[in-house]
Amino acid sequence: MLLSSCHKTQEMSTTMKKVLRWIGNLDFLIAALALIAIVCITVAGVVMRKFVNRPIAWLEEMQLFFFVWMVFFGASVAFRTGGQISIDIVAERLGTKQRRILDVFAYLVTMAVLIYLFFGGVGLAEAVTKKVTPYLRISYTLIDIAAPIGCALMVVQYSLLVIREWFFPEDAVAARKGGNAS
Amino acid sequence: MTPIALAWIVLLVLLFLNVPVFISVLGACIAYFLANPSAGITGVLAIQRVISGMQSVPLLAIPFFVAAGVLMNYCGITQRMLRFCKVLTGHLYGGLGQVNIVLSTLMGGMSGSSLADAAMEAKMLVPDMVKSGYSLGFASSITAVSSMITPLIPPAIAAIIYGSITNTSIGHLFVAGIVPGLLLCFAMMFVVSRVAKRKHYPRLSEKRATGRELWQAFKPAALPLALPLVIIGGIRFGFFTPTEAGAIAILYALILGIAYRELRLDNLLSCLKETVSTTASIMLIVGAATCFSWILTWENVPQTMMTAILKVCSNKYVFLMVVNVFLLFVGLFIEATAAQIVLAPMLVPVAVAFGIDPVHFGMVFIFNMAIGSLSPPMGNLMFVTCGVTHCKTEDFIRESRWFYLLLFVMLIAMTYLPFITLALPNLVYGG
Repeated sequence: MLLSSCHKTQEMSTTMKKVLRWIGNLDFLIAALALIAIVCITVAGVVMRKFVNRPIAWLEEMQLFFFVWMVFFGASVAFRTGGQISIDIVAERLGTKQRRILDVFAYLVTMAVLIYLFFGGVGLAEAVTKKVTPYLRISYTLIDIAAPIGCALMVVQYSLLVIREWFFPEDAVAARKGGNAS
Repeated sequence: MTPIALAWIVLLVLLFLNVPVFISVLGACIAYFLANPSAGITGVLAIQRVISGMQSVPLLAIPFFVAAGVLMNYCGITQRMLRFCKVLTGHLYGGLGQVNIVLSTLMGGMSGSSLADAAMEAKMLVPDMVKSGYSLGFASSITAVSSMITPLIPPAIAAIIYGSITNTSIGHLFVAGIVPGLLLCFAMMFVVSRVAKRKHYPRLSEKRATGRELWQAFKPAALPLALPLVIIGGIRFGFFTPTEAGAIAILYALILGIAYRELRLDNLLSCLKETVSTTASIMLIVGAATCFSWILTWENVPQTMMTAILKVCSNKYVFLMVVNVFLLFVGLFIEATAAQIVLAPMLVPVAVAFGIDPVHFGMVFIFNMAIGSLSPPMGNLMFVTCGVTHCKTEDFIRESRWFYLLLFVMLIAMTYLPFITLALPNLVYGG
């Protein structure tokens, strides 16, 4: 009885891990697709203007649409791979204990700002439902929704990173190395 | 305490406490909103500012040039360059040091970011330099300082950001960086050669490479080296905009990768990952700084500052000196991209009022901010390099003293001799 429940939790945790890994790569997938889309339409834009002589009217709005999506989903990737720029001159000089306090502080501040932005982003997405882009008439909600989603993803990624670093330090080092190499 | 003073203090405290830069800047904005409820600013308006700061087609050039640089790196083009640099400068005193500098200059034509360049060279060259007798401090110092050349040689991310927020021609800014970049390269090579002679750092080869050897090493590097010419030429003759040039650069890198048979699905994926992550970090800072800059406008800070500057400065020479000292000071504490977005829109109109060319002013601004990234307490470039090489900050600074002197001389020269930056754009664009 006890054994089977143990087994079940383990199974659960592997499924959880799979789901997390899937979500973890979903942000990268979306950001990468957005980047590829921007590159393709930009090159197509040059070709259409210079060789076919029929410039693409909707080019700019689509570029900016994908750009916003790429940045906010890429931000989540950046948190995952430790790519966010921060200044650790003070942190480097502290002992383990003070360092931990500082890390907690930095974590809480980051969470507070991201959550504030998340609600701001949700409000913004709700406020612009009627606004559409000039050519393709895409709703601005679809563009701006990337911001709250990105903030929520950053909250998740940063929390996962912190949990890993505090409770499974060796795991975190390996993951970071893997993240950089792959 | 006024809300705006509170915002500045919150910004500095958060930056020092290892909070990510864009969170620090936004934290300062939020502190301002909370301290000044009468302004009626909400989270909705804040995020709207952040997004609007990112929605600019010129800024799209950033992910493009980042991607092109990363692609070149993964496609073994860095290795080709390295071999060429070794043959080119191997006979000079301080061989590997010279290679380091020339490689930065040549790679500057492919990638726009000094951080990526510093990290790559710290990994590739510093271990070999230490093995052949260089002190760790000096090797790290050459790596970090030579990376400052990268943002001067086109394509340059700092020029893209400056151009897009101040409405200055990015094409002109690109061309304007070439001469200062090359000057800096030669001046640094001279310094390294003097230090190497005194400390007996070895040369790579006794004899100068023959024309034939040079040609052999040049051939595999020739196509990548042509990229800056394609970019500058394409923009100059109106074939494409700087943003489109970025997309073309990616295409060019892809074709080279396929031709050299180095492009595989796995390194393409790493490339995409590095590009989205780097771009997102830069763009979030851009967005956050746009929000902060909006608060300053709201508080009439630009006008107040303009009046104050005009009161102190009687002519443009004094103005340039005051601005340089001010920017060096700011650069010590605030990350360069954020500082650029907040300060450039305030300072450029004053500079133009004094009759200073915005392209000249932009290059002085960009160079000045780059110096800040080499010095504590907030020197990104220094931290990235020392992080890779495990060099102590103190050693780094001690070994960098000649370079600091050189950079200041260079800054003064660029400030007071406009032809260093303007001669080439005037020639190319027939100004």
